[in-house]
Amino acid sequence: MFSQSSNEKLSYETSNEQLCRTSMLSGVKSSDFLIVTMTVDHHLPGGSVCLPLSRYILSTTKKEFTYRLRNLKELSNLLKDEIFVPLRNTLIADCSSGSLVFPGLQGLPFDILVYILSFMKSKKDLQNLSKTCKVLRDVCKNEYLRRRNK
Amino acid sequence: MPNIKLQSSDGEIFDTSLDIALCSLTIKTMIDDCGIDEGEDTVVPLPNVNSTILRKVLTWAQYHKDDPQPTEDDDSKEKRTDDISSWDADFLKVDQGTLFELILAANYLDIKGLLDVTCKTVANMIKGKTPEEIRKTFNIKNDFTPAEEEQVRKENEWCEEK
Repeated sequence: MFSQSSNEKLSYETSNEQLCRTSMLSGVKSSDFLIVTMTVDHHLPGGSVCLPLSRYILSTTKKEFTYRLRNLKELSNLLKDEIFVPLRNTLIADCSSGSLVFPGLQGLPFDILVYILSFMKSKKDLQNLSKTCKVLRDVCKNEYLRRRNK
Repeated sequence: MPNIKLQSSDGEIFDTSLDIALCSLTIKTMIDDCGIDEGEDTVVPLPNVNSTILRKVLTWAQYHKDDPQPTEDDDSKEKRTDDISSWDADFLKVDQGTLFELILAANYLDIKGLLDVTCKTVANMIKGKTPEEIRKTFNIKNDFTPAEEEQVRKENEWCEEK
C-alpha cells in the first residue's frame, strides 16, 4: 500500500512571502513490519510508525480491495494519531510561532479540562499531568486547590 | 413524534426525530424559547458543529435516547471511569481529533451523557502514564523553562509525602 514514496509540494502564503515546503511519505518493509515515515521539511522533526503487516494485510493477490486489507479503521486512526496530526501540529506551530493547536488536549477550554480532571482521583496522575506543560499545570493546580478547600 | 431539521456548520441538513434532538438541552432550550409548530419547516442552525461530528452525535443520541435523564452530580458521589459501556467504548474508537471535537460538541449541545463518556475516555488515556508518556500520547510540547520545571517539582511535593 505504501510501497512507493510520494513527493508533494505544499505552498502557501504568509504575509506576501511565498514559502515552499516539500513533504514526503515513504514506507520501508522490514521483515514482518512496514515502517511508514513522513517528513515535512528538512528542519522539522518528522513522524514515523511501525506497522505489523499481518494485522492489516490479508492477501496481496486478491483483486477485491476488501479481501486485501483489514482493520482499516484502526489503521486510519493509528496513522492520524501517530503521523498526520502531530506533523500538522508541527507545521502549524512552525508557521504561527507558539499559538495553541486545536483540537487537542491543550486546546480544550479550561472548564472542560477541569471536568476531565474531576474523573481523576489519583494525586499521582494529577502530578504527572502537571509536569507536561504550562496550560495543564495551571488546570491541575486549580483542581488540587479545589479539592483541598472542599 | 414529529421531526426537526438540524443544520450543521457546513450547511448539511439533518432530518431528525424530535425525541433524539431533545437529548441536547441546547436544542431543547432553543425549541422551548422559539416554539415549534408541527408541519412547519423549522431549521435549527448549529454553527459550532460540523456535519461529520453532528452525524456521530446523532448516532450516539439515537442509541441512548431511552436512557434515563442523568441526574445532577453532587461532588460527594464517587466518579468512576471504569463504567463505560462496550457500545460506547466501540463508538469512541476514533482518532484523537474526532474525540476532542466530540467533547466540544457535547459541551456546546449540552448532552451530559456524551460529555461524561468522552471526558472519562480522555481521563483513562492520562491515567497511569508518566509525564513524558502523556506528552507523547497527546502531542504536547514541553513549554517549561528549566527553572519552571524545578518550580513544578517543588510544588508537587505535596503528593510525594503520601
